[in-house]
Amino acid sequence: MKMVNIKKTALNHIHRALGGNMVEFAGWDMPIWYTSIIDEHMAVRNSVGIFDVSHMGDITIKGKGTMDFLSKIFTNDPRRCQVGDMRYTHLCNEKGQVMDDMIMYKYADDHFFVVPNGATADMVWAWFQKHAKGFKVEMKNTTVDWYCIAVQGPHGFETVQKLTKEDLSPMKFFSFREVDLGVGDKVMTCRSGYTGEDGFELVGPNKFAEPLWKKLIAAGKEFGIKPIGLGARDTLRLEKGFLLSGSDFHNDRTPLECGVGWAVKLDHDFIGKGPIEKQKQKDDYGRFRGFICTEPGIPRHGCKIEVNGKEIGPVTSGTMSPVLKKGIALGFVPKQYMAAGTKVDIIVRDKKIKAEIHDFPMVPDNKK
Amino acid sequence: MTNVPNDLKYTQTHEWLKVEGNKGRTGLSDYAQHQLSDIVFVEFPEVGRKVKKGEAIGVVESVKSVSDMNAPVSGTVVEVNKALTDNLEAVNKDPYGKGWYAMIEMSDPTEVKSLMDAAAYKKHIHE
Repeated sequence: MKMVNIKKTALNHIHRALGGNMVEFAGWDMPIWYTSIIDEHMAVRNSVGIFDVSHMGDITIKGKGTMDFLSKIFTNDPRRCQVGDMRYTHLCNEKGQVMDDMIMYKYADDHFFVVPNGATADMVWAWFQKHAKGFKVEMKNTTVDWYCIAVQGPHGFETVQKLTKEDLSPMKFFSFREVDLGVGDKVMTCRSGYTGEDGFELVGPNKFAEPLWKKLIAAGKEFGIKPIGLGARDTLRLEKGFLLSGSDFHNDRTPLECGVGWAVKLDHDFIGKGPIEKQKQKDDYGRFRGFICTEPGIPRHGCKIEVNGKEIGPVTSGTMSPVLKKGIALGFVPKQYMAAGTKVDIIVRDKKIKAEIHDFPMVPDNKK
Repeated sequence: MTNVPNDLKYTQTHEWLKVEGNKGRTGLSDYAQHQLSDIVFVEFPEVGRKVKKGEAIGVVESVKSVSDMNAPVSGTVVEVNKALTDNLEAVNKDPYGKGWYAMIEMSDPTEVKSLMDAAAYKKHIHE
């Protein structure tokens, strides 16, 4: 279906002025790259890049029932969060299958913020509304009204630190604060990202997006900061083995299969808990693994994984790794084939490409 | 600025053809390489393969996508640019020179007339 009203972020005109190659993604007009996916990828690995990820969802939940409500719908338990904590969680259906993955942010016992994926934001919002009945909560969806800018890379921290006198260094990874970054309003400053590098994700109302972007570009100039499109965002997360909603799972895999059992707390009740608990006891489920090709070829979503001519699972994400200069993939295999070093064939256009299972991340980690 | 040399012919699917005697050299247009961004893999047809105009004869892959390479004319593949395998950047940096893809000995040179000239191709990519 053709989108009639394609949404534009507050930074759309900047992407166009930069010559960004624009595509429709999740109903938004987004830059897929500006100069080259590989150059942008390497800028984030080696120095710093800036991303407009305003297509991500923004949902605020307030009220006395906030904890109980989120505890019911999330696999991770909001009760474990301190103020200023971020927690990765899955949202599952009644079968325990992952509908989306997202991060929750705790402002107070009765105030949380949630960021679902762009492509699933509407579905998540509808699910929230459906299941909030009976809980004392008020919810607000500001997805189209708020920006999100990510600053990522070994110089990501310094770039943002330059905008404020407040010392950001005590901030742990996956924590957030409201910080004065000099744009006229405090900015939700989250030490997090989807690249496996250090840096921040910055969130606030659209009218502050452009001044913040410009300040960050100026601050990052000494490090050679580059604007980064969604193309490199995908290859960066793929090298680190981070899941992509809709590609690696789509109402068909449990959090355990996805390798994030750590984001499932079985000491609270949540939608989908029963099937997940059973699966954990049986421990016979498939595993989400990384694959590095040992001969030329690029696996893609949907390619088959074989061992000795027998199909054992699907590739759910694949690309050429700009760091390794080899084909890499993410996919699912039965438990007995999960060991690192296991040799497999990935079928690319009827040809067998040799690959080996690799632990995550598939490239060295810079982050402390 | 997209480079569309006047001495070449072009297909709807963004291959170029340079007539060299009874042969035609082909590759990916500058417009197409720019749309695809970094080319990271190519798959060639076998030398000696008989191909029909418009037939998919191989593949070029960018980081994000897989695209067919189509034969601009019918004939026999007589040479492929194996040097590309170690220099894929040439497709992006020199699409009409070192970035060429394959050479086809034409079985029906009149087919060339059905391809777009530079002016028509410029119109095609700006639509």
